[in-house]
Amino acid sequence: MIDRVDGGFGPEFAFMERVLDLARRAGAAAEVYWTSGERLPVNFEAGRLKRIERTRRQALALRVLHEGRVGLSSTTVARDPEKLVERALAAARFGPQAEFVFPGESPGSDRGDWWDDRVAALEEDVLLEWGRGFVERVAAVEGALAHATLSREATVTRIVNTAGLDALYRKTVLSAVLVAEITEEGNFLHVYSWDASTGTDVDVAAMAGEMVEDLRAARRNVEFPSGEYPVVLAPRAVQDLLGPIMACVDGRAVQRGISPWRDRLGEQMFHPSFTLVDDGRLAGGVGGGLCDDEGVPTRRTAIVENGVLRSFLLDLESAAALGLTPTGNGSRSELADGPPVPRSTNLLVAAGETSLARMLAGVEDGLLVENFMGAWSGNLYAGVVTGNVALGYRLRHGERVGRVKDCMFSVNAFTALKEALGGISRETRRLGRVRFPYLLLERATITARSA
Amino acid sequence: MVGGDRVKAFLQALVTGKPADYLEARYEESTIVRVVYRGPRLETVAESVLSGGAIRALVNGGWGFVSFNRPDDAEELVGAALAAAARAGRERGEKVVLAPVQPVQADVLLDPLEDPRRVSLQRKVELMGDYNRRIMAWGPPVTSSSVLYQEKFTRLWLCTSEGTCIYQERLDLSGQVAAVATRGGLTQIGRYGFGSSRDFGVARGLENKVDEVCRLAVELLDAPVVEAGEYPVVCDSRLAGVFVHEAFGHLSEADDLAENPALQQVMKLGRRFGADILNIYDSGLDQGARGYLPYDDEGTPAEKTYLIREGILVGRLHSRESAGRLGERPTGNARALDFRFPPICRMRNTGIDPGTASFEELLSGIKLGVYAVDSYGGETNGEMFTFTAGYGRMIRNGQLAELVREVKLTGNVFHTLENIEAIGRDVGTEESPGGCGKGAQAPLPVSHWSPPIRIRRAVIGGR
Repeated sequence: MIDRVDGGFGPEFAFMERVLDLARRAGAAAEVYWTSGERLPVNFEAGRLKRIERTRRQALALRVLHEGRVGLSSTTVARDPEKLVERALAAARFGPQAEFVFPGESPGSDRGDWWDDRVAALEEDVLLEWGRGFVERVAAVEGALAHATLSREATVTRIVNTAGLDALYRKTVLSAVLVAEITEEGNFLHVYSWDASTGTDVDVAAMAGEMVEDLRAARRNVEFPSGEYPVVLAPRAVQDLLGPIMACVDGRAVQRGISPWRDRLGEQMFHPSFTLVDDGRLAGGVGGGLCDDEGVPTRRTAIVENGVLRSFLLDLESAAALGLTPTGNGSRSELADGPPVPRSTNLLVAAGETSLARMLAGVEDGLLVENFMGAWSGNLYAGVVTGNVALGYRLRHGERVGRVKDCMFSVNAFTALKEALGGISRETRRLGRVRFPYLLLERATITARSA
Repeated sequence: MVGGDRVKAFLQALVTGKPADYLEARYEESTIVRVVYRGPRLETVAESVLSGGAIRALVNGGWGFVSFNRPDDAEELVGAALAAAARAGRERGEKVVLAPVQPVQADVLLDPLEDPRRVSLQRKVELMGDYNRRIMAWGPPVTSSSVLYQEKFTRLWLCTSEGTCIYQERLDLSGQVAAVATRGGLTQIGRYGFGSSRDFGVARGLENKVDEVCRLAVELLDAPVVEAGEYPVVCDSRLAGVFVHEAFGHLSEADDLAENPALQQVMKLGRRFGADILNIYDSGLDQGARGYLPYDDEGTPAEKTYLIREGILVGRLHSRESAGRLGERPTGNARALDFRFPPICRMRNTGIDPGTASFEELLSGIKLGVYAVDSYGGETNGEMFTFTAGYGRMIRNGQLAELVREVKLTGNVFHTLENIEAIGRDVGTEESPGGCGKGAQAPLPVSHWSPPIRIRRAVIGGR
């Protein structure tokens, strides 16, 4: 259905024009966002194919600026344009003051940078074959069960507004979410992996190989007394460490004064080796696109460059309120049933100089954390990252000697990335819309359960 | 789509006479109203109408699932669902017997106390605006706010090839008033959440709560981060509810269990998990709770399901498939977030039966401990879990002492439940905004009506 972009969406496109026209006649500036997609997931549970899905979705959202106020309404069916406009105008009657205007300049035409015909046409059989391959690899480990969801998706998005903007682009996404688990009395082990690309470069076999290695390495549990330790964070754990930074550079949080960083652009806030980039134009990056969900062209934004805070992530509203240029990070939910808010597109931490092997070898007695649990919750604006070590290994003289359980990791991410960042690996790992290296923190607090 | 009977006829035609062991079709229309104030600004007033349907087919143990927005797509997609199920079924080649339920024809209309649909949008915006002004008028160090109101009214039709045909109206209302205090680069938040499945009244009269959250946010600026360690912990009723949700509720969701023989060994009915005083249940019967669910998304009627009675494992949360695989009864826990997803085993209102302890008795005898209050959520992998409190107070010699912040607990289901040594007598029925996540399906409205509890020792992370 997505192949018919140049003509197949006639009724939806006519609906969008009609909505714009009605809003214009009511004296409002307006923006209409439309996205339509089809997804084909195959799902394996406990080592067997369980479910094959095909899901179609469409969302239409109208935002009006009327008599200085903003109103929103959305729907999932291109019907009753009058009602959609009426609801948005009603919302604008009591709505917030408009601090921004819609951009008039279109982001250029789609050259297919986010589209791969091979993904769009990928046969169910191929996904099933990858799934079976993964399941077989895991089944070779005694007691292990595999779960997997592999999917391909194709979407088309169009944004038009009364300022003259007209943006249209297509995107494909190939994704894999893999889980391997071993359950035994008093000891549950879960190993996760996931990846996604707009192209075909999702290597399920390579992911499976690493997971099997993890399953084997984590079979033995070892003691780990409470204390301060050097900790190596694997890419999945790095994501949690970055939670407070991402909360504090969110344009809306800055605008509202919740983020403590409003006046700190240009300051050396982190270790000079630390660079954090949002890249909406990254090749293969599933978080990117021709433009964001407000029609602002995507771009590469250095959030932190060599430890210096360089930019916030901004949508139209927060950019206008702060007197800054929008960064192309306005993002809507899948059903478009709320306002656009700033969200990272593809997030990257720049690779370092050290090899992972060397980084690990330098740890006398410490911890390697593959992933945390629950580290996302809490007071992010204070920099606090506290999480249960869901999968972690004790390191002795650089070797993984066994799995560490039942303990909490705590650091303040702001101070840790400034004063305790002991190394960044050369190796990086893509996890869907992020790509991170391994980070060595010279000290973190570990609190363990007593025997 | 309008006209209830027309939708039923449409769905019935989809599921009748097709080559499947089981076929179900759902269609829903939701209206969502959202009002958001942040800081001095009204940030969002939005009204959305979402509609869509889903079809699920079972053939020889394999499932096919399709979802769509346009009813016109349904005819084509029912074929796709059957083909997908047949394909998966060929690979599985097993006979799955869904646990039987009596086919139901029912119309479940909303039975509101104060119906939010009869309250104008203007009134909602004004009410939240009053709270927001009150927070912002508190003055420094209260510098910002977050006042949210959300209401989702859903009309839901479900028809199955077994003759079930149900129309349900569901309301999910939730929100919060939160004050944000900042000083010298430190941000602290005081929050009060509310929710209901039948009453706009829960959003009214929150002025005292607003004052409380302002005071709390300000006081937390001076509170130290809790010192990491292992402590006796008293959880208030809200946090105790989240604790039981994370610590035992998710492990009780039987879809994983049904396909994992090793987990079945660990979770044998009759196994002891806690002391005699511990009774844990999950119920779809509690009117007003966000987790109220007269019929689940497979048409199984609600019940109150005990998971633990007097410390012993006695039940679990089933879909028809998981119950069928384990030879147990379906419990009405098959839930789908919306039409985009198939139903899976989920919680409703999960709680602990009240005990006998007064609040003073819960504190008494604790030389050094932590009283952990309110919840910012948690996570579990089945065995280990975490949950985050809004804030805490140290307990010193049986008395509440100084305020502490950043209180996050972790535990292990095989140790922590048996460490519940006292249970309060007063059940808290306050609701929280947000919801539960499992896979991609979040946030699903759930409730946790619990009394406060005392845990002998729990690991708290921190400084």
